Amino acid sequence: MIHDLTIRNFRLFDELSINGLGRVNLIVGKNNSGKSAVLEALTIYASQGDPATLYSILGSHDENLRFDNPLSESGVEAIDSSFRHLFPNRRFPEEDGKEIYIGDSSRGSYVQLEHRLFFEVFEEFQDESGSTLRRRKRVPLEKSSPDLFSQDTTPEQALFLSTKNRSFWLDLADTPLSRRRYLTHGADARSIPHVYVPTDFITAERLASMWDSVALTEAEEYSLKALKIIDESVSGLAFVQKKEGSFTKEGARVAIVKISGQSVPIPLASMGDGMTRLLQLVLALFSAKGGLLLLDEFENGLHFSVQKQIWDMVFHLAKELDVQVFCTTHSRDCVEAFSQSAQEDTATKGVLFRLGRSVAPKDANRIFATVFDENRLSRMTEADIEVR
Amino acid sequence: MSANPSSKKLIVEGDIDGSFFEAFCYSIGYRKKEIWVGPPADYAAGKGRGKGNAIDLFVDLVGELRDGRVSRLGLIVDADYASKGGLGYSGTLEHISGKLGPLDYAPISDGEEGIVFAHAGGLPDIGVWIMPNNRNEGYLEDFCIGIAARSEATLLRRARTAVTDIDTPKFPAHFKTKAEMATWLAWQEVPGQKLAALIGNNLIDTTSPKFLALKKWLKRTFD
Repeated sequence: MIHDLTIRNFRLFDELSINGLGRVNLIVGKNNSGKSAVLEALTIYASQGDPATLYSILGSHDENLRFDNPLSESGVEAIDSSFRHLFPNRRFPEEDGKEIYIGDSSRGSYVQLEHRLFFEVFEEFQDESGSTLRRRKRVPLEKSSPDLFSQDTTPEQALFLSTKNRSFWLDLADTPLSRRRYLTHGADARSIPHVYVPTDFITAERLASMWDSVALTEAEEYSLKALKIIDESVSGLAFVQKKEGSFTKEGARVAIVKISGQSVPIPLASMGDGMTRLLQLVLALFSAKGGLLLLDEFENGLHFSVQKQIWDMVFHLAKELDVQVFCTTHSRDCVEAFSQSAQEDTATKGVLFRLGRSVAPKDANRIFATVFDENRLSRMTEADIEVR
Repeated sequence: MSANPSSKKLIVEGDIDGSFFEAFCYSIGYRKKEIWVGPPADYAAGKGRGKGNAIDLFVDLVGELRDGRVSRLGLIVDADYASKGGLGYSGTLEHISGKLGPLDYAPISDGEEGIVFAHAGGLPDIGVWIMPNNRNEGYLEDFCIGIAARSEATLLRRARTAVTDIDTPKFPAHFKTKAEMATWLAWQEVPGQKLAALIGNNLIDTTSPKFLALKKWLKRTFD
């Protein structure tokens, strides 16, 4: 479990420290306060800097589209500048020592992403048989170095990614080859299992695939229990392949539910968005076993009247499955329901943290987190926990 | 949970203190509700009264200064008596300082004119007043007796004598001033009112140094 999260130089954060995280964490804050960026940072941390994950995060915001290349004007070789979006002000830092850092100080575990300049040189060496070989070597160049401006040098750029366990370069040369190259680094075996549930609803196929990974386990039982929170009459759940002739593409499977007293099952999707969202939530919890569940906009599709029961279930399952949950919300009902569940479920630590900009002159408008544990939640009011 | 619209907050221990300081603030020129004054139980449902809870809420609200949700903040608690299970003046100040230190607040002045904590990063100063006078052990009642109007001197002296003359008082000795205050209030035109009745009924001396010290501290904290 992550206890003390520090995020530096990532997206809108200069430095964000959130100490004393819980097993279930709810993130609130006004628009553009960085709620989703925290989920992204956690995704990067959990994947231990997996390049494919980084690229997928950029892709989810169309930040991988290269319709501009501001760095080419400076005479620096054209590069894939997508990754600049991850840095503050969407620019690679102009000075050294401004690396992206995402870490848990309680475990000493971190992911660090540094933009570096270097010269590429080839040095010759002799192998055991005496043959002369050439190998590529990077000679780092400080960003403050006067060599940067000399006419006969064109420094290369790369990202240097390091974690507690490994480090590697991600070339930024703007070629398909280099892009493939960094994707081949692959995931770190020590990465933490994690499931990200976006704001929008996932496809029926993805839901079916998540179902496959937990079918015939207790997840089935919990899925049914969860659906019953919204509709008591649900008594069975299955995924079936659509018959030929339907509009969905061949092979797509959809969730159907049995309703007590009715002989023919009905599609889950026909019962409203809330049912699909809820099933998605339960399946995601089971898929994230032993790791992190990251959920953007918890309340999406869920009527306020059922949110307390759903939080109760999340608190219970998070502990049972050893999952640490991070959700964002814009809903006061959601905060209210979360607060109640957090205070009632004394076995599972629930923490709410609010992101906001500091008015302290020394902080220079920096975003910071105010942490509300169960005790503090009970002392505060709705007005204090502003969510919009 | 109720809304506390004012961004200026004065946290106190209980309802009686709350109504007293609300009246006090009004008497020195603040509009009604300009400063939210009250105990934790009035701030958010479900949380009790008392010094510990008041200090905890105060510390929580210090955190709210950082993004401007709270603009000015003060705390008034009793010193109590260290020998009677309380913290006393020094213990109370140490306890509060210990909680504010990690939030980058340190005391810049203390003594009979009130305590002020300043923030290392430039957030507003915050005020702490430990009753009766930021020096001695005791309670709000000691402060009130100390600011009694001269015209009340005789009645107050008789009330205090009456309490002193009880052979076997039921209350413990350190509650004597509370008993004296209750007796004095019992002998007013409307007997048995709360402490807030001292304000606006010519029962206190608004020119006394003790009154002026609290007024100055409130202005320093909330203006």
